[in-house]
Formats: sequence, C-alpha cells, structure tokens
Amino acid sequence: MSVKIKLDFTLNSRPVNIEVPAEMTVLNLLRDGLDLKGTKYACGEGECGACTIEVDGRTINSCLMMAVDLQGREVMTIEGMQEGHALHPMQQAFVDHGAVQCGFCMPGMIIQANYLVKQNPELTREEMKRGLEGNICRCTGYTKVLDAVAAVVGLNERRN
Amino acid sequence: MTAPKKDFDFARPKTIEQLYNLVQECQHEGRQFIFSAGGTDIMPNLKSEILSPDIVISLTGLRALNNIEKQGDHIIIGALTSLSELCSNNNIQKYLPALARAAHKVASPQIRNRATIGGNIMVENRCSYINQSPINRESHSPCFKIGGDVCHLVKSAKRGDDILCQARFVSDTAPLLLLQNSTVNIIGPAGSKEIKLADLYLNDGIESKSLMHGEIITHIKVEITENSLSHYEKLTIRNALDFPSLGVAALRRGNGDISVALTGLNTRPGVFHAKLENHETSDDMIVDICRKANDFTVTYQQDFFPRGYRKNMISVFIRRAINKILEGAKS
Ligand SMILES: Cc1cc2nc3c(=O)[nH]c(=O)nc-3n(C[C@H](O)[C@H](O)[C@H](O)COP(=O)(O)OP(=O)(O)OC[C@H]3O[C@@H](n4cnc5c(N)ncnc54)[C@H](O)[C@@H]3O)c2cc1C
Ligand code: SF4
Ligand code: FES
Ligand code: FES
Repeated sequence: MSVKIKLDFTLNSRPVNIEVPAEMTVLNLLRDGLDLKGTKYACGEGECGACTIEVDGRTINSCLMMAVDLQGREVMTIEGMQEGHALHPMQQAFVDHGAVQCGFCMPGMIIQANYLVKQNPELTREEMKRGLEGNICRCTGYTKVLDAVAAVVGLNERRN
Repeated sequence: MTAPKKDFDFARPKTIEQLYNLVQECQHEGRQFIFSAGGTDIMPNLKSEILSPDIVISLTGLRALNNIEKQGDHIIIGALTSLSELCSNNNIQKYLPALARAAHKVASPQIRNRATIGGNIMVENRCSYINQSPINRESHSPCFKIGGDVCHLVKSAKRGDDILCQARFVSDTAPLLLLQNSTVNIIGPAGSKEIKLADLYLNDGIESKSLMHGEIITHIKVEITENSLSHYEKLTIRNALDFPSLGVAALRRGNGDISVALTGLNTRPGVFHAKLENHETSDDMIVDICRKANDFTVTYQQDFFPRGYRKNMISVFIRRAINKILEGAKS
C-alpha cells in the first residue's frame, strides 16, 4: 500500500491541493494525476529534457523529482505559457521558424529556451547551444530551434 | 520507467533536530532509509531498483545548508547548494574558477538546477553492468553491488577480496575540491565532526564512502590557495549529459609545485603531486605524475570508450590540464 501524502503547490498560477503516493514523480502527477499531457515522458532518467518544467523559476527534469517535493513551490508547465488564446512569443517564434517537426521534444525545449532568455536577454548563439544541451531532439537538427530562440532574443535584428 | 516500482514513504524534516528524531525512529523500527538532496542521482537508481528503501528522507527542507560564504582564507559551501548556484556565485568564480568549470560540466542545465554539491561528492559509483534498466539486468544474475553473488566485470572476484566491486568513482567536482585541501563537516546521530574530503572515499565500489549510515554532510570547507592556478578537463563522448570517462583536475601552487587529481579511473579518486625543482616546471615532473596516474588506474571495459583508448588518454588529459595552467602562469 502506497503511503499518501498531502501536497499544496501552485501550478500555472492556480493553487493545487492533492494527495499523492510518496513514490510518485512530478511527471506522473502532471500527466496522470492532473491530466496535463503537455509535459512529455520519454527517457524517464534525466537524459532527454522532454519533461522539462519550471519549479520556483528554475527549469528541472520532472521525471527526476518526487511529487511530494513540490510542497509550497510554484510550477510552470507548457500549458501555463500561453497568454489567453495567443501563443507565447517563444512558442510563436518556434512556429514561425519551422523549428517544430514531430513536436515531442518541444514542450521541454520551449520551456528551457524561455528560461534561458529570462536568465539572459542578450544570449549569444553559443550560449543557446550550451543552454539547450539537456534537450534532445530527434527531428530538427537544432538549427531552426536556434533560429527561433535567436529571433526572440532579437539577435537577427542586431546583426542586420 | 515512469516511477519507482516499490512503494516507499517520504519525509522532509525542516531542522537537524527533526531529522535526527526521524533517523532514530527509523533505526529503532528497522526501517531502511536513504537521504535525498537534489535527487538526480538516487531517482534513476530508485526507478531501476538499485535502491529500494522503506523511506526517502529529503534534505531540501534544511534551508540553512544552502549558502556560500568566504571566511578568511576558506570558502564554505553548504552541502545543499545547487551546482548552478555554485557556477554563478561570485566568490566561486573569483577564487575557485576551476571548480565552477567542473560543476558546469556535470550533466545538463536542468540537472544542475537541482543537483547539489553534497550529492555530487557523494554520487554513487557506477558500472556498466549495474546502471541499466531492470529489463537489461534480468539477462544476468544480480551482482555483488545489489546483494548478489557474482561480479560480471571481474569474473574472478569473490567475497573476502580486498576490493569486491570495481564500480567507478565519477564525481566531477571532487578532484578539484581534493586539490584545494577541502574538509567536510558531518553531523550524525552521535554528534558532529570535520574530516578531510580525502578520507570520505574508500576503496570499494559498494562501500565507497566512509559516512556512517545516518550521517549527513552539512558543509564543505575549501582552502583558497594564494597565487595558484587550476583547471579541469573531462573526457566524454558528448559535451553534455555524460559522466566522465575520465576527469583530470590540475593545480599549480604559488611555489610552483603541481598536483593532479583524477576521477573515473578507479573506485576512488586519486591525487598525485610533483615538487618544483630548479625553479622551472620540467617535463620530468609531468612524466612522473603521468606514471603515478597510470599505476593508479584500473580500466576495465566499463565505459563507451575502449579501455586501451581510455588508458592512453590519461596522459593526454593530464598534459592538457597542466599546459592550460602553465599558459595561464605565463600570461
Ligand atoms: C543524465 C544524468 C547525467 C549525469 N551526469 C553527471 C556528470 O557528468 N557528472 C557527475 O558528477 N554527476 C552526474 N550525474 C549525477 C548527479 O546528477 C550529480 O552527481 C549530482 O550532483 C548529484 O547531486 P544530487 O543532489 O542530485 O544527489 P542525490 O541524488 O540527492 O544524492 C546522491 C547521493 O548523495 C547522498 N547525499 C546527498 N546529499 C548529501 C548530504 N548532504 N550528506 C550526505 N549524503 C548526501 C544521497 O544520500 C545519495 O546517496 C548525472 C545524472 C544524470 C541523471
Ligand atoms: S563491478 Fe560492481 S557493479 Fe559492476 S558487475 Fe561487478 S559487482 Fe556489479
Ligand atoms: S523524460 Fe525526463 S529527461 Fe527524459
Ligand atoms: S521535433 Fe521531433 S523530437 Fe524534436
């Protein structure tokens, strides 16, 4: 019998009060407990970044974090990025630059890209590569991903 | 694997006192407990059933252990400081830039946001037979490290051997911390103590750390070495996400002596020194260190790289790290 533990945290600006089994991961809680399927499950062991979310303003792999460790914290998932019906500028840039193919890695990739730009609005292309090195994409070859992030940073304008 | 298969309980004490009440309770009731800090090392091990505790005790509630402070000629790093905080900290960048470099080479940005320095120096030793999914491991019998009766890497190993398990030591930050004469502060049910970081490490891949069950590291005290230069080099296939196939930290002291520390090449880290003679770093000094490092190394085939290649790379990486600090000394 699993031990159930009470948990309160903020998810995409809304309070959540729930009981979770002690061994549940944050990724399980989001996808199966709260039916938010945006955050993806791929490797389950920190190797791919598909499960990336923001916790207290920092990106983490939700497959490596225990749900009970969310007590009192603030979480943002890809579902929380959209502004009303409009896409977040980072999401829009990925669409505009053809940076999305199958899309499976994208929720994690976009959360991480957005975090990098918040940390450093003047990000260079080299820093983008370093910052996205924990996000694996099997489709795009990354070039268009970098183009999309560069567009948000305004790198292209600065160069022209 | 989506979640650990075995059920366990979880607790996050907020004070050291609460922690030790809980530890004593567990010991009294015979419940198996493990500590978790960032959890980035234990989580894969819980999922693949290498670890199967009754309760996970999270240390993240001990907020006071998350700080970096300069005290005279030492930097005190709280064990729960995340590797990203470490990398961006002003004192670390100023006094221990090679430590920031080594920490930055761990895993990925997301993992560094959660992984702690305490967890990094305590990271479990690894072996290509054990760090696999349960499905993969089903194809061979359990080895010594998980309570079995065989070692798949060293077939001749048997209980009673000096070293039963050859699982590799893989921490990226430990080598530089060792060169900086670091000590660790430990609290346990029996009180607190300070030991040399070097004394934390033991020879066996199973009992690889000297902490007693129930003890935790609260701080790491790192010596600032006047007029020194240091560097860290790491061999991996990819630039990110890979544990070190080998790692070399090098330090040149103000008096010209050179020290080198290694990770990934044995069940524990290795540290070697060469004294400056005739006021000039000679090739003999470097050759001497490379020879000692090669003698220390135990390369079984437990890495992506063939063992011969990894063995050849030891001297290459030692020279690379030392040359980097010598260039720095000239400029
Ligand atoms: C994909 C991936 C890649 C990785 N790559 C690297 C790499 O390149 N280099 C590397 O060094 N590591 C790597 N790691 C391992 C791990 O992420 C790091 O070593 C990390 O620093 C561990 O810290 P943590 O706080 O997450 O440890 P945890 O998982 O919380 O703990 C690890 C161990 O340390 C013990 N522990 C933690 N804190 C304390 C304390 N204060 N006192 C006593 N015991 C304590 C725990 O009980 C446990 O046994 C990788 C992990 C993953 C998943
Ligand atoms: S070296 Fe250790 S972990 Fe690897 S197979 Fe042998 S006993 Fe198991
Ligand atoms: S699913 Fe979490 S990193 Fe791959
Ligand atoms: S778009 Fe398919 S994995 Fe990235």
